[in-house]
Amino acid sequence: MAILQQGNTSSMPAKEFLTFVLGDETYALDIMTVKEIRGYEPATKIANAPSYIKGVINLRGDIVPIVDLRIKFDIGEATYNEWTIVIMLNVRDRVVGIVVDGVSDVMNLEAEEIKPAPEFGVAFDSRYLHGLAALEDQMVIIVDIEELISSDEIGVFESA
Amino acid sequence: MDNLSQYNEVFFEEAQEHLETMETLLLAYDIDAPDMEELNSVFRAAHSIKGGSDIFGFKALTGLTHVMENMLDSARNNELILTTDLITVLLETTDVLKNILSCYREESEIDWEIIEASKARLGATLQEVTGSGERVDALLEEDGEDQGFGFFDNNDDEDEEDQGFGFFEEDFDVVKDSTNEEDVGFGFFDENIGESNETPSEDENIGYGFFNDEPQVETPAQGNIKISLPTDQSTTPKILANKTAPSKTSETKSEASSIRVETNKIDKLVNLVGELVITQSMLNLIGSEVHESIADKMQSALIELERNTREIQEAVMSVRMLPISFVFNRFPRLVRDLSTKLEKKINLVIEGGNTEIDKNLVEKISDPLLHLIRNSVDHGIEMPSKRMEVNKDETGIVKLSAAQRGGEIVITIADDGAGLNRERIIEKALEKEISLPEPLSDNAVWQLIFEAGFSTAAEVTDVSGRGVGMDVVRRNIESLGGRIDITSAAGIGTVFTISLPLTLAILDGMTVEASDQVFIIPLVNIVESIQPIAEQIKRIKGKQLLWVREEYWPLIDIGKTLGGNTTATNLETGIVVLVETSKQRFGLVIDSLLGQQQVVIKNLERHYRRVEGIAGATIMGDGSVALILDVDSMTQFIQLNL
Repeated sequence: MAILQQGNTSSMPAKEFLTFVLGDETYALDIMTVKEIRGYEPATKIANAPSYIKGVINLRGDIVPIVDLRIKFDIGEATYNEWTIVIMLNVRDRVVGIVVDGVSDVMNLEAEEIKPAPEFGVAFDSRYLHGLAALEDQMVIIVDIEELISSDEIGVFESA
Repeated sequence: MDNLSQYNEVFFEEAQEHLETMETLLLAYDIDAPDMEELNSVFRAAHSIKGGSDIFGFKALTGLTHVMENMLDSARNNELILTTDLITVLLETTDVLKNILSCYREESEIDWEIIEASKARLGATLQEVTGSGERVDALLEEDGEDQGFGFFDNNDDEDEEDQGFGFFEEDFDVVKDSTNEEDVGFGFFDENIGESNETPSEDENIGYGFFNDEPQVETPAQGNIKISLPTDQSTTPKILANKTAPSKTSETKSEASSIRVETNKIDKLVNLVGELVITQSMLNLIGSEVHESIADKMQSALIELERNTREIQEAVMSVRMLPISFVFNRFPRLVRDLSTKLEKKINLVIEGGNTEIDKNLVEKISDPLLHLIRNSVDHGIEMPSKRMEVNKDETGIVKLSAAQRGGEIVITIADDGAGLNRERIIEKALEKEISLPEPLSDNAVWQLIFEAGFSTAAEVTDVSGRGVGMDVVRRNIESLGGRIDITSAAGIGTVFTISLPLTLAILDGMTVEASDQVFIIPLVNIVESIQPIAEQIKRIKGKQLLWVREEYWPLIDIGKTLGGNTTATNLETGIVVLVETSKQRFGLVIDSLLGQQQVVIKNLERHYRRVEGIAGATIMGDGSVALILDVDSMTQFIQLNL
């Protein structure tokens, strides 16, 4: 990512991002971390877990935790129906599912199109942001999903 | 070297195996009746390590194995008779080699001093035995390249002591001349019998007496025959070598028929098969709802699928199974070393080494067994003098056996020693302020030795007696879902019986429901399940206790502690499962019992983190996830609750 930001774009192919919606905001994450996208299914609750960790589900034999980002960042409404989407992510050799309001599109972004994020104004701490990009006249917030999911703040991983 | 380094791991594993083979064979080596085939195997193992380490540039290994190899070579050529001392030194050398190997593996500093010391030791022992300084120098001389053969050449030139080869050829000629038969060996013997009848008393060495009679044999040959013992022996390996040829090829065959597979690949396979089983049972459910014309076809296809799935599951599970001899083979060495140190005479008998056990269990059962065997050797078996006094054989027997009984593996460690001392255990328990169980049955007394901090050894030896062993043993075994029992009789001996589940991946559990969620309680922990009546419920400081069987049982509300319920389950409508751990007994409050079933244990920490009170998760028949309770770690909830 560091290389991308240095702006060596001529030789660098555009990176693909998956955009998703939380509340009114559109976010994007590196598509290479996405394992699959599936519908929400009730998870098995886990004792003493924070409310945004919905529990664990069975993903083809693996027991995988589900994190509801809407609850975690208090955006949107945490309703669960047949349109509720879970993005299964591959992060640091683990699989974690995140619940979002919807998945919208896959977009190509050149490194130079990503502008530095302001220190405020988004639900996420700027540590977990790569920057902002414009998609038509909409602003897309690019999330460093690997950093976010493995952070102590989410607490899915054992803190080192 | 970089190209080679990818093979390092393979070399390490092979070298490790070779070292283990060497150790096993050296331990089994009978000084009085040496088995040349075994000696050859030891030599081959040493040679392989030497060759491999040379290629990969692990010079420390090359140097030491070289000296060892030369020593073994002279031994198999009968130029050197292996004594107990020599075998001990060889065993110590394998230990040093193991250390070096792990140094290379961990890429840590290599202690060259130890290697040199070990080389010197080999040399010194050799010198003592052979008394020939020249030979030792030849052995110790490090030539880097092809010492094995250089050594032989030397021998040929020396010609004074090593009649082995020079003479051997002559011998051959002689025989050929005399018999004119192709089948030299046997022709020679046949004739020998006939002629030796005529000259039985002439020479003590009948076989060679035959030579004396032989007219063609010339005087120099006779001179050789006079020093006939080495010849006699040098023919033996030759014949054996011929015999070993076929068995060698069969060995190579078996090597080629197995491959090394990373364990995580197998684990993945096991997981996928578990998933397949669930999908299959889901299909079965759907299939039973089909009513159209295809229903019959569907049913028979589903039955076929079910059978295939089951077979795949069995086959995959069997891949993970290893013979328990992987663990057992480490112990002859341990017993040999310990008995030497303690000046006891002990014979370790191993039975049922072929019993198969889950690979993960193999690794985890090793330490507890080590403790128990040490214990039997140190505390169980008496000193030889004492054994003689009580009319027992001077040599004590420690018997290690394994067998499969139903869904369990039963490992027993039995000794014919003094047995446990009931009075001393009670005395010790009082001294350590361990509360005595009621009633004080033998069995209850024996269980006391598993209490933390308990040790009856009068003094702490470096073999055992620190009192940390036995409670760790029990904890380890229980963490594997197993249990340990003791039977003991004064003067006759002690038997430790360990029962383990066949595999770590499967657990017998009771499925229960609390706060609309399914939990699994391991069956090993369950004492009984009851529906409490009002009179049994007592309160202390606002907390509920259950009065069952003259005992107060603290209660843990599963729905509240694990299920996220905010209100406590009503005890009078709920069910209490009484459970027992090594530390404590308590009751688990649940809504209802669902049934008993075997579940496949899945790790929760693979993608999530450790959760207090939860041992893992499993996937139920409908594809949903259920949590398996870790009853041992739940005791902490009691302290929080009370």
